[in-house]
Amino acid sequence: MVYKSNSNMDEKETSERICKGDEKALEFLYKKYYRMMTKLVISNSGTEEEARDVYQDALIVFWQKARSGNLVLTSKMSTFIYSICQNLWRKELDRKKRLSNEEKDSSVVLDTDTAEREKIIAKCIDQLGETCKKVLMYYYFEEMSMQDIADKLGFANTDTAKTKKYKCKKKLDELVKAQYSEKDFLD
Amino acid sequence: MAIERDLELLDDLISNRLTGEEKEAFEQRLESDPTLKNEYQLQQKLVEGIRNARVAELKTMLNNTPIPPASIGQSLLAKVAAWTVVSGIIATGIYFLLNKDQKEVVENNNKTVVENKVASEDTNKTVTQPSTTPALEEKSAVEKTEKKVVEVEKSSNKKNKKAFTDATRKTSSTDVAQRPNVFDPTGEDQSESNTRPDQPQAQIGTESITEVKASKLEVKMIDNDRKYTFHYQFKDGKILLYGSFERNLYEILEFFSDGKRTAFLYYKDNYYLLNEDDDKIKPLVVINNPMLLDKLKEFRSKSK
Repeated sequence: MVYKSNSNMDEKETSERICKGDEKALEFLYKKYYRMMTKLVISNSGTEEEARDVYQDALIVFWQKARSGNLVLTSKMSTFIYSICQNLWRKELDRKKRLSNEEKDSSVVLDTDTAEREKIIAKCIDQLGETCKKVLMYYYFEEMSMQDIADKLGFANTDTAKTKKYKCKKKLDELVKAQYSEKDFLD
Repeated sequence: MAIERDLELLDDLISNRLTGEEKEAFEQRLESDPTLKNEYQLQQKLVEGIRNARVAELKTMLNNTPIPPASIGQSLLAKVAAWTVVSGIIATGIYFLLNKDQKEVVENNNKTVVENKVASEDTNKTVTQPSTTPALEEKSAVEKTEKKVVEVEKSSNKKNKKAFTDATRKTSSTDVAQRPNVFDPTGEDQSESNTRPDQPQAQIGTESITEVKASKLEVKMIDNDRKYTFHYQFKDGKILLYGSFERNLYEILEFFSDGKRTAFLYYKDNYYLLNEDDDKIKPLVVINNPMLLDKLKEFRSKSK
């Protein structure tokens, strides 16, 4: 796949490809604006690693919006992504500031619980097959329609996609419940 | 235990697929049904886990994407620096190329002159050789001449001296005609008896007709020319020196012989011939001939 750079056509093409779920277009976008976006964080008391994290998170937000059909671009893609980066970094700075003012012990306990739960679920998701994972991710993260999921994964129709999604979700549910009691997941 | 329909509604709520009214109605039910609420919390965490897994997957993909290094051409400063370096390399290359060409021309000239001398000497010898000279001596003379030619190829300075010495013994009109009219101070170390009257080099050795003095030529500096950075030009009776010469001391040495002037530039311990045959801008070429250099040093010390 060949991308030209710095023209409106390319921006449009990239945006269209991302909306269609082309991950190569996301990689292209990531490389294209990496310096510009990470500079924002680095020049605002962030580290290179934090800058990369923020930029990746911003790009994922952009991806999710584009994939779910909720993206309405009123400016250039770079401006839009830049503003997401700004918001994310501001939030992160606030979080850091708050954390330094709070009692750290309670925060650690809370974080440990959350991390443990996430670990359990991640382990169960790993036990699912690749198609199951894709169906669930496309449905819950990208918020794709059943028709798009069917097209993307080569299912015969939306009903097949719907059934597949139902079965996969049920399987995940059983896996999690089989290993841990329901109360482990209640706050 | 939640019934199937409730699970579907829960799923739609978590995946943002309920309309405003449906969402509001179902949320009210959640508040009144603790079992359904517990299930909602569990399902919410599962979906959150799925979303996190997808984020992790995308992040892994991005982390594996190679980031191109910051391009050199991105900043204006870097562009200017790159152009300066490239220009410098090209200019240096041209300078050394020209320098080499000039050197080769000078060396070739010297060689031609000496070889011509030797050839003419050989001819003259045949003509002027006394009939009483034994054949062996003639052979020896020819051998010597050949040896001289070989020596010329080895060291042009040594040959010059030898050739001049030999040349003074015999006069050849062809030699005079072929000899380029270039001043050579090396002729000065020859004794008067060895001097050829028709050669400017030889005449320089006689103090009465050769004058070495500090130059009265008007010199003008042009240090802002982009094209010519170490060049000279004779124009309107002035010497124009192209380059930043004022940073260091320089001297112009003039030699007069038969009313003809030959000028040299002394700059940074090097000597350069200033050829005023035309008013073209020419590069300054350093003189490497050790004998000529010795003479120039000697004259320069005298003129101080």
